[in-house]
Amino acid sequence: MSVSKEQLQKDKKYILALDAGGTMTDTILVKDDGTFTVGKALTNKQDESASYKESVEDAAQSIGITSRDAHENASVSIYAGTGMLNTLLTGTGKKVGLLVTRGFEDMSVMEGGLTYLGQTQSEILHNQLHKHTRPMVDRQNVHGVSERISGGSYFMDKHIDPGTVMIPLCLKHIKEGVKKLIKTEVEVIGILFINSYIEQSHEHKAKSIALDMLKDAGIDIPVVCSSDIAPVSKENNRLKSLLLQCFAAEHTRETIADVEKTAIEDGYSARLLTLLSYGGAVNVEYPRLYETVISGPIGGMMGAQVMSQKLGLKNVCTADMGGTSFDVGLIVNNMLSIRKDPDFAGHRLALPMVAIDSVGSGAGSAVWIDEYKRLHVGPESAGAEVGLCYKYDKLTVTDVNVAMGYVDPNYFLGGKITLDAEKARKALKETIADPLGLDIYQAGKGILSVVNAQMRDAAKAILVSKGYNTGDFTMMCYGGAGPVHMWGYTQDFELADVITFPYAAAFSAFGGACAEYLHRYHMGVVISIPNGSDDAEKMSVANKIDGAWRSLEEKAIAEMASEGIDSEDLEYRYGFYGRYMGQLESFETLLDEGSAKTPEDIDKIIVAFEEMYTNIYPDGARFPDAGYAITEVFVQAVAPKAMPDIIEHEIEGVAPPEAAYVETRKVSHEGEFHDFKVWQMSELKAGNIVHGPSIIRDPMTTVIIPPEKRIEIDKFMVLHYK
Amino acid sequence: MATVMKEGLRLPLEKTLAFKLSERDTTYEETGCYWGTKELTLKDQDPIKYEQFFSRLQSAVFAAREKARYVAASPGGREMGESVWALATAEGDTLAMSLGFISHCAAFPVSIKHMIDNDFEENPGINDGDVFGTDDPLTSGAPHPGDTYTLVPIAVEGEVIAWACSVNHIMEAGAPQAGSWPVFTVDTFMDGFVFPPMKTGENLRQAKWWETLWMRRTRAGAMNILDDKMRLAGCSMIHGSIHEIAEEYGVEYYKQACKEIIEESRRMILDNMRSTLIPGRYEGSCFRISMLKGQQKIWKHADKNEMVHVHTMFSQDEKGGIVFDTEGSSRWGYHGFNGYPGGSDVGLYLGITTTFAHSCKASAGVNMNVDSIYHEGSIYNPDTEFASCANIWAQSMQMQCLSSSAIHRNFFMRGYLEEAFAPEDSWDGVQGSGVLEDGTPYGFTNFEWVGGGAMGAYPFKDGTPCTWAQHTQLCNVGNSEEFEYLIPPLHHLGRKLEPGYCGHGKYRGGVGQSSVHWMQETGQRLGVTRGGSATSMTSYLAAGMNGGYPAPGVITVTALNTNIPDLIKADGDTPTTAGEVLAYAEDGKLTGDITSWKYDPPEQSMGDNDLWANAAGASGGWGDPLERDNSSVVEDIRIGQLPEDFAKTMYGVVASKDEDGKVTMDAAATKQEQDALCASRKENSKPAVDWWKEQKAKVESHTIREELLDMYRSSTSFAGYDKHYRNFWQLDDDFEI
Amino acid sequence: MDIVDKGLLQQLVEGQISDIDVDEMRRMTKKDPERFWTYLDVLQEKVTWDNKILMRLNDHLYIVMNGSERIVKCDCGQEYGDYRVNWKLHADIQVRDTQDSMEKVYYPSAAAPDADWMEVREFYCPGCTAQLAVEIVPPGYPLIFESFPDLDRFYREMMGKPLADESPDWFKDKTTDFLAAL
Repeated sequence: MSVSKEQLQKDKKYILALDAGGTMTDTILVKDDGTFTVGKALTNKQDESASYKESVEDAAQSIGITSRDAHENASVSIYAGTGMLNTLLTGTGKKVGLLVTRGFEDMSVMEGGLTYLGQTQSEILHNQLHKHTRPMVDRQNVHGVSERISGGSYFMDKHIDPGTVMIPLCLKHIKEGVKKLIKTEVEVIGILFINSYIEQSHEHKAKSIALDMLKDAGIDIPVVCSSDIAPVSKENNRLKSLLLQCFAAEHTRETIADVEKTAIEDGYSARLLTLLSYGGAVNVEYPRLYETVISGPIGGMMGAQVMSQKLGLKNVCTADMGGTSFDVGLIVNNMLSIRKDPDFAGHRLALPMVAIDSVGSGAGSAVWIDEYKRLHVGPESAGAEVGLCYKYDKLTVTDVNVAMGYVDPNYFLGGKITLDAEKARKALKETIADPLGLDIYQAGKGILSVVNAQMRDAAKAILVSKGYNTGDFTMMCYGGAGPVHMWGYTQDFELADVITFPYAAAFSAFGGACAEYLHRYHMGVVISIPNGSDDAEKMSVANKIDGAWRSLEEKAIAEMASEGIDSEDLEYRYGFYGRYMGQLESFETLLDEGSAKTPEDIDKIIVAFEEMYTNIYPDGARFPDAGYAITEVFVQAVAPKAMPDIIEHEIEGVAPPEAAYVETRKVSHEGEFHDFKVWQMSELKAGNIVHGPSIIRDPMTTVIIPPEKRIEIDKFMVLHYK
Repeated sequence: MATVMKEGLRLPLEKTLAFKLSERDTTYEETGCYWGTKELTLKDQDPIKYEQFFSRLQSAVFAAREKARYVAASPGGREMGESVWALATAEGDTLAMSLGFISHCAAFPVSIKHMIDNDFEENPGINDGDVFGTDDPLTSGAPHPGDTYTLVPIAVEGEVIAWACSVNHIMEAGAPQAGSWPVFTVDTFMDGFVFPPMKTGENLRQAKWWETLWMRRTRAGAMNILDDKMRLAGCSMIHGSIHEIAEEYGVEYYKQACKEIIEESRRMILDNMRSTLIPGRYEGSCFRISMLKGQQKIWKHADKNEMVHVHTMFSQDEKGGIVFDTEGSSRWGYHGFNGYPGGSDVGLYLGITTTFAHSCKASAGVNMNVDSIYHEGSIYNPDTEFASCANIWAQSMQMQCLSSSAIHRNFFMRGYLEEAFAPEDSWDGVQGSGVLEDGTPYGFTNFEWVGGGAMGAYPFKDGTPCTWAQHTQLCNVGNSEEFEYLIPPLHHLGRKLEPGYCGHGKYRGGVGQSSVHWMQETGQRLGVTRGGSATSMTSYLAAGMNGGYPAPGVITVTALNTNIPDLIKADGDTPTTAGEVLAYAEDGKLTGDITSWKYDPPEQSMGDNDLWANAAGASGGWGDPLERDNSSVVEDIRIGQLPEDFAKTMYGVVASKDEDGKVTMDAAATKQEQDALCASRKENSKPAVDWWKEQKAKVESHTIREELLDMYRSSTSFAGYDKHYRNFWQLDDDFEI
Repeated sequence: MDIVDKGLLQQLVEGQISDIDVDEMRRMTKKDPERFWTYLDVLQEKVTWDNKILMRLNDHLYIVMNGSERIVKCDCGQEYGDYRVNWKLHADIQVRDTQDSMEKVYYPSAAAPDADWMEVREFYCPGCTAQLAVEIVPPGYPLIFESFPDLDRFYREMMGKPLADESPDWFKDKTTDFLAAL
């Protein structure tokens, strides 16, 4: 019986989902009634299986069971983490050997000149700060192979056809190269040939020769082809994906296997899943595991996608405010927006990745002023040291929140930690207020308005830069500090609605639980549709596209089967990347159906492209006269998987129950003191309306409701900020 | 009070551009502050609102670039940083700019001043959402016709309060010599599609005739139109955002805050200059050969070879701002290496902006702290309106490196070593045109080695390859798979680092990179040339850093009628760099007509299996090579960035690499070699004073090749340099140079 | 980082500093004005002689006080005379003016300048034969006077510590006078 069926067993009543961040490993334990509880543990970078178990234990205890009970009754456990990132940053990956097209041996050293990825504007302007990222392969273990395949050109059939062999594969070079790599004892061999995304035969031939030689030498190490890992144009990005797979992914595979082992020893009976950087969950057998490289933040995006479906929201802007950063993502027409060549840890990858923009301001960001009396927030951050009020040596945003009274120093993490409010106030006065000649509450107000503005602008930028109208979007606020600043970063921001959740602090883990079991298959193609093509031409285009889709479906069936999934259970989604002839960027275009059998189907495809394009650009940027090019087609295959059930609650009265009231506290808000009523999150009921000035507290976060504002709790226990 | 008609309203004088322009200048003259802004009132009253206002402007231009660049047809425009979007004041002074071609902000005020001075407000009228375009070096400040500008006025109730500006380097400029930088030009009429500022559209839409013009006057019309759409798409976004912001903050706040932003950055940048520079005089020179002899038979007056001389003096004004005097640079000539002051400033500001403005608001405040002196009649300020500017970048980027070089020497002298490096990075574009077998004509430029190069050595550390680009912060050499897609007959047999190719020293510069382009299916015809900076006849700059060698110039090697097919059949050992092409030829492995060019080759008509190999992006060294520690030399050999034989010649390090790539050094032999090198310095050198006496005799007897005498005559036709030259060689005033 | 201490600066000067430290120095929001004084300390300790260093000119050369004079001096002790005269005139010079000799200092050979047009000038210290400067120029080109700092203005305006022997004369180029006297 297939994994997916097993995962659907009804007798399994829990879903476990974990988000292993740099500091904390959060667990969401979803009970059969759809409600969740949360567990936390410090991430153990040496032995993630230990912090995995500890975190599950913590969640289990909160409902009076053991981690074994939880595991035995879990239909699925999902583990998203930052392991691969750590491998990259610490350079502790595999020893890689590389075969490339002769003449391209320095690609990994040159990196296409991208020496500023991830830097801020002012850093990029500062030439002396440009530097290469630590290479994932030693130049000495890179060997050239004479071969050449044409990639085709802008002039299409007027010049050399794509896939034409221009220089035959030189077996001698392959053998010499592999021989040297065996001698230098590499742990994995990667192969990248120019234009292999069009025609794989040379890479595959080289791979089989290498495997034979390794076999003869009695060595068992993986040999990976770029065309199997990332079959898309631009050799520099493709190389990075290949290297990431070779250098880091195999490592991560081992870590996840360890965690899976621990889970199974503890009574878990299914496969451990992890998250793909473009959404979706896969198990440890997944060949292109490098695609899980940012599985952590993706969780939140997927949670947002599920919630938006549940709440019937088409367009959502997610706002995840944690300790060190503020991450913004988009859901448009219920789809996650995907970036094709994302920059990650100093590398530009060929990897579809959910588009998430980050600004370096979080609750832990340091607050300081320079000699020009300009106020700065971040990028330096206190992380787990919170601020001066706890263990950090600089003033942070949290310090300001404490000083102003928003955050209760005696109820941080539910009172597990007591914060020093006096110290925070003193520092705010001395380091900011006095130099600027303001009183401390004006200074605090100013700082918060800068932080909030930074976040607001980041959110607006990602919307505006893609040409969307902010008024069409609902903002979902989560992350430990999200609800604390929700009031601020949504100010003067035309939005359809602003919502948050009782479990906002662990929303990314929750999102993991919501992940689909999804793979994405894409194929580079060279297809042109000249302006005014006749039916015959359109027909041949239709055949090419349809053929590509069908072959991708086959690939999906085969691969999913190897992961133990029944082809019966698969669903497919279709799309392509297209552009006007001459453009270099191709734009993702999604389609309602995945078949192209007639000239009319091609007309539909063109219409879909034009609609997508004019969604982004002013009419003046259209150029139909040039004709169209299709550069890539893709298929998404989805297998069934257990999902948390967001249960509906009975709607009760608007007035919060007596039991929910905790106290009334003085808070300096927008330059004036107000009496804020404090409410306990766990006691509030669906249908309640909490009017500002109020604070809803929870062990893991604090919801601020200023005067004149209110929170309405709907039947799904979602908090609507009005 | 004089008034002008605008959109049917009567516009009071103080709201006209003409008035604003003259006010800005007179108030600056009187107060030394931008628009006479002595107090930063808005900033002081509500610093937080002020900063928020600026961040709104900033995100408006970032968003524009992030979105618009994907419309592009040229890799340069989309991701290689060969573009920029900016917001300027009504007078054209930059307030905020995206990443990319930032120094082009020097050109915006030139275009806008031209429009104002020529009464564009009256005719054709400057209205909200109009679209203006230009690429004319004389009237718009464009460095050369390849850089194409789009300017969109932003007006509230008829009053222009801002301009949305954009520029990118297009793929093909439509000159007799195809590509982006025609080298064989005589005058502006051979520069290609040159147009002064003109209205090309309204309501954020281009006129149809505009597209037709691109199709008719350039060889890559469709691509150039897409780039045009890219620039306009971004300007439209900025136009929209600014209207929102102006409404939200109020037009009066908007106008005042903009003045304060520029004044604030003027002050901060001046402060940065004062706190890192050392007042004094810092001399610099570099050279650029123009070999037209035999190429220009039709235009006799241009049929000659010229060594273009660039001479600069870097110093400070009484405030501490930079004074950059180019006296002594050659007179303008009948070649492409001329420019006009606007475009020359675009070159000069490259290094100054990145060096002094990265820590503050990078606005027109930079420009106000730089006094650039381009003498009338020189290559930077021709006393004719018809000079060709097709390839000014070639030596104006060298010229800006001379200012950076002075700045970095100052960093070194003042102890800020972490910022001091040899600021060189030569660049090379392969360009041309062809006709496919079926008769389809096309033009092209391969920008890869324009996209980035190596960084020079620091006084404590080697330079690194492929790390920066002078003209943009977005160093990016693109992808072979993309260039081959755009330029059908050119296929890379190699695209990698050129070992040993850098300025050497105690710390060596980063090595440059090389391509070997292999021609396949060249069709009816294919003509290839290059455009770019110093060829290997001269070094990139004349002086190295403190005993290090300056960066070598660009290498070009052509190989026609080769035996490449045989090499492929044999065992696939084809040459992968320009250096290898020559080495293979020397060993007789590669046959054919092989030429190593130390100057720009005339157009090469190429056929199947011909090679065009180039190497560029090398950078300079720092300090005495004999002080380099042997282990670094050995490591260079190990990673393949230094050939063993040259390690011996240059560093006296005797080492060999076995087939497993292991490098072993012979310590004794090395010591011996290094002693010998030291001794040869003693043997082959003489006191400079003795040398001076011999040279003086040479100068007096004119025993120097004629082209160089012409160069000296050209430079000494400027009084200041004439004095400098005569003083140095102690020549009488009546001596004929 | 808001100030670079002596130890760190020594590492920087000796080329033994970590990239992380260098990046921190580069990220300083404002350069530390004291740096110049620390730099002089570090350098003064490096050299074997006691003349007071006024400014570093070059890897090996310094402008130093020598009695009432301001002269250029090499760390090996070699003296180059008045700093207002281009020090290159007191150095030894080797000129590479053949293609062969030029190809000894550039690689690949195609990268070497053209000996028919240009010459490579190498300047050595007569005391220690250290290579102090390289010029690549056409024959007949005047020596380049790379750095002629206005010491008085720098010490007074930028550092706020005027030199005792200030005089407008200190910023007058004396190269011509020197040559005239030959």
